[in-house]
Amino acid sequence: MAVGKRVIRVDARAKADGSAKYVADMSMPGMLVGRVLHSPVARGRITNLDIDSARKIAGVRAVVTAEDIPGGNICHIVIDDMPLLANGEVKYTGEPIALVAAESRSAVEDALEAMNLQIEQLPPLTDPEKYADPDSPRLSGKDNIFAHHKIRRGKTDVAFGKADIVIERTYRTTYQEHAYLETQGMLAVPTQEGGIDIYGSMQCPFYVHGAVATVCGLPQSKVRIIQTTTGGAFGGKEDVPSLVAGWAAVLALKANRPVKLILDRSEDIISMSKRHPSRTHIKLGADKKGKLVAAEVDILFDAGAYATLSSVVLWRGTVHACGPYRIPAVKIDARAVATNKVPCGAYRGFGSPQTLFAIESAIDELAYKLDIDPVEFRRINILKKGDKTVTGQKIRSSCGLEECLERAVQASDFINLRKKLHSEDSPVKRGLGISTIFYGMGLGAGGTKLARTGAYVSIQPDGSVQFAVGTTEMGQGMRTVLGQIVAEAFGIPFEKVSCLPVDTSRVPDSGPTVASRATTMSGRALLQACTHLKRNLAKVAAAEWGTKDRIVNIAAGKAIRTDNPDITIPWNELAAIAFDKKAELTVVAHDSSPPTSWNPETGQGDAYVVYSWCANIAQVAVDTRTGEVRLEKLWAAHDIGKAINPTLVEGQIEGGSVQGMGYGLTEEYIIDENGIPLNPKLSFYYIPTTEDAPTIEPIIVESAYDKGPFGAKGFGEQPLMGIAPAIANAIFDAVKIRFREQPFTPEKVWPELKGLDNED
Amino acid sequence: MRIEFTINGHPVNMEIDPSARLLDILRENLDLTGTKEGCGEGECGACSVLLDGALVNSCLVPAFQVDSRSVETIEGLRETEIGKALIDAFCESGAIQCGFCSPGFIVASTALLRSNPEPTESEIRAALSGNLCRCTGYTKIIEAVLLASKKIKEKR
Amino acid sequence: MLRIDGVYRPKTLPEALDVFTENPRLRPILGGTDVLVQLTDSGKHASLLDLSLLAELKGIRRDGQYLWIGSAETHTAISESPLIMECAPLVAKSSSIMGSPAIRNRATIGGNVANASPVAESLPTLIAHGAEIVLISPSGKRTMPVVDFHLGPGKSAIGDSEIITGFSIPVVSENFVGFYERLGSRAAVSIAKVGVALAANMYGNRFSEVRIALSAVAPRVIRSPKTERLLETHPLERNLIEEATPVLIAECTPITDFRSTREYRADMVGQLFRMGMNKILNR
Repeated sequence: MAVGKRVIRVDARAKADGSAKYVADMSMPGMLVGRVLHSPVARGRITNLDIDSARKIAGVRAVVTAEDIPGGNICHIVIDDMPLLANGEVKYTGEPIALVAAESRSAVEDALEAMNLQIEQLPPLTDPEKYADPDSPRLSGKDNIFAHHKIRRGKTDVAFGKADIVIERTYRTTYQEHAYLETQGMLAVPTQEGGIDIYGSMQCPFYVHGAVATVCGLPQSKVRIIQTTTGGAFGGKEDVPSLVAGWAAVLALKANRPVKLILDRSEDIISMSKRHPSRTHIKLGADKKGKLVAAEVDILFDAGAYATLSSVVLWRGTVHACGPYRIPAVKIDARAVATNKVPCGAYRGFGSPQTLFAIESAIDELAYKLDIDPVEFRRINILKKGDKTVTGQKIRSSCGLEECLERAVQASDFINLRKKLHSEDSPVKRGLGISTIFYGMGLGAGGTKLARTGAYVSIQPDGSVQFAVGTTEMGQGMRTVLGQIVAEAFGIPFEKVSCLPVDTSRVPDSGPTVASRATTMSGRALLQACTHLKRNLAKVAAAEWGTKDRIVNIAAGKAIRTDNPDITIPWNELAAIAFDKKAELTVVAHDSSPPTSWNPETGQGDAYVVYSWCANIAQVAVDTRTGEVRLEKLWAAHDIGKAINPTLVEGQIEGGSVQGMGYGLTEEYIIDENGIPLNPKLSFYYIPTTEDAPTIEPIIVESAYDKGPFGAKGFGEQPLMGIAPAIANAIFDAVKIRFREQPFTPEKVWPELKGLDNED
Repeated sequence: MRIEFTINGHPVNMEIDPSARLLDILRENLDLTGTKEGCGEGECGACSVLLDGALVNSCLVPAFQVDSRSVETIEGLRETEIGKALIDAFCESGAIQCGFCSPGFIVASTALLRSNPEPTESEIRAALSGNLCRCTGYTKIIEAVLLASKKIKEKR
Repeated sequence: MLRIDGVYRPKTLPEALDVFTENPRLRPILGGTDVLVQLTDSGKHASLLDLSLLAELKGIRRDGQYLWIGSAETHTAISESPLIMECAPLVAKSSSIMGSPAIRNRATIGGNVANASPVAESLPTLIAHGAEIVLISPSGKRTMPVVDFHLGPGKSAIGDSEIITGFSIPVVSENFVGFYERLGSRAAVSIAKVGVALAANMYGNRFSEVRIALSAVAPRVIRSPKTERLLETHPLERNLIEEATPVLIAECTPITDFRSTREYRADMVGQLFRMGMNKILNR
């Protein structure tokens, strides 16, 4: 049995010993170096771009501007507003303007300089709150609004009238940079038939496939995308690789040579997507007994210069904006607005970390206002089986939030530990904070068009099994987990199964690898394929035995006669016979997600097919002398349906939690009022190091999802999502000061502490 | 300009550009692509190698400075006792996710275990503080180094 | 990208000085941890003078009442040197905090000082210890206090074709007390937001020869003469610390940038000073 086991990742050894090939490690005969000329300013008109001089530099083989793009100058994501290369005007610092391919990096650099880019600057809009000001430039449509989502449930004005306590608060979050260790990169190779092959780092090969065909003006049949070993993504390689692949592709076609284009770190930080900065205003009311009665939430996301994924990111943020609580009356308005800054996009959590920070902080604030313990307050209000979410969706099954909460409380010995921490006499004050959150697994009603997967499974004559899927491995362990699912389906040893690299020419469009959907959705398609193959094998065994198919069972790695279980054909023999008999041993299966429903006017419906659940308890230390906050310990309980591989599940919990800690404490990407980034370097954008990382106790809760493979439901994003509010709540517990703007840097914390007694 | 040095125990003699970094000649001239470029400014440790046995960021070492010196990369260290033990332990502990930082961590951990065969958790945290990992949260990396240390001790 | 047009790799100091005199625009390089980053960022063409082969720039030794640290000594060597821990403990401490292990294996004390950053880790501790910097050029050797060498961000008193050979630091007496406290942006590998170094002799509860050096709170690493005087003229007790803190804060002129704020830096100068002083008080 493979499911539930801590098998070693299939890709671990090659990655550890340096033999795994990332796109930067690849080379091809005649390969050129590609690079991009980016805008150094946030808004303006291009007044000079000297292409001829660039072309004359020795070693330069191709120079491409908007005019030279063979197909459409568009990077299709949701709304077609973003060009592959700026056409006459630029809208953000870092916007791509021109491309060069040359024999050497130095020739490329010389060519970029020779272009002598000149831009007539225009005043930029950098403050999202000024999107509607008459003086602000119009960057998108009439109103600078890319998306407006609503939820209307019950009558909030009436409900607030019945509340005993109402609070109104505003919370803010800033950018988060993915800081995947491997920067974006692509290798484009023109084919003999006039098509193009793309190798590269990406989450969503089928996005790239469509985008490259469009910009190259090629039929999709002549474009092939092969994902290379991908060095981290976290959402940052969802949509923007379409740009990078498009750049490499048009250069390669123009030069008729392979072109490798790898972004430098600063270039990557400046020009690639980020988590949306946000402002969330919450009005939240409860009765004396602690029951939530109403919520009104107004959300503003700073989307940047182009729409990209903002509408769907905002949708998830909206659906999660009231947390995992029963609230009978809710009114939510959420807007994503245009600014002259880098287009924001997908990042682990996809709009929900912003709104969950707000609601989880507000829930805590209201609990203290009511003088109810924050754990108890959550016990009263969290969603349980049979309850309805704020979108009116009934939670029918797979609801482990209560168990998560109780197990985290128990594991941390919450009550006693809190007492002990509060009794310490030290300038370093300690406290415990809690967050309870949820995650709508998969694309949900916001992405039904994309909610499909395909899987290819092939039993080899020697009994080993090859499979391929269209979702991608980016570090999370998908190839291993899916291999476990296939092995389990046949009842064969895990070692017999191998996963092929993702290649758009091998498997049908499987939608994007986002929304924590790969295990569940590719797992479902694989199980379909396996079921089909098992039927074929049963026929083979039945023929061998001269019996009917229906009394043959394929299980535990053999064919078994149900009328006499002692009669079996072992797996390898069965495969060999099946091959001999020319049975169909290779199948491609298609799956589409279980249905969802949505009314965009009321924001009511079954938003997601299932939810994962999580409770975090954070122990922080606040140094009252310096304002420094440390996350010392974290208990993180996650209901994921079924842990196919507990080691990999823990890896997601630990890694996501530390990213969430960075979001809460140290990570601050600053774009100034002129739209210029101030710290686009890893030396000034502080992600956690070994010395910052806390002790983490992962707690796995398994409340099975009946439509998931072996009960599993995705959760890879969830570990990040509730950490910042748990830290904020713990800071409050430690020093009784509420921070409503992440990250909680000493520069913000210290001024509030200043009045306190901070003697040694 | 011409330089001579040893790479993973083998002598090499090559013509280099004065602008070349050690990282560039490893990856482009010697096809040793296990050493990665993550930031180009010595911040992430993905390009970690050993120079005369000392841990360095190969993105900040001008290639001309390795003349007459000895360089060890992941491709050499993976054949050593400590390197093998670390790779096994990283695999077993689940210390690898996207893997882009992993060779750098193995190199930095080798440097640590060579000078300090039985490090404490806090010594491991300090020794690996210049290697960034965005996936794992470090817990399993630290466990892996402790495990490798234990395994090596048992074997000796 | 790096655009290095040429490199000189002299084997002796006299040879280096000859080359440097003939080519005064050469950029000296030792470990390269600052130089390579700066040249990569600027994208400018440069030619280098590699000083890393010069044996004359190496060495950690005691000459009577002075400790000598050659400019090419790495932060690893400095932080692990028992001699430095004994003779100039704050210098060992600042080197142990600087950057990451891999950076410390390459970055040198000479390079750190030559780079003349207001956040340079070695500057405040060298200054607190009263170190002198020794420079050599074809016209001869000269020596000056490190505090006078640092003039501003990226600016120093280094002359044309001049090379830093090392640092001469008075060996601490048995009455030495001192601290180096600093704050970064995370637990490891981060540039100082604020640093406070203090070195003094203590007789009973009286300070003498107090030197305080502050980093990241002015365009250059500065001394704080008023606070030093105050400490030298009053017995050490809790009140003195409270009295001296605002005096010290008034002596710095921090700025707000993307790494921190003026107010925070000013307050933290006071807090780090208090923390260090309390350790002395409670020792």
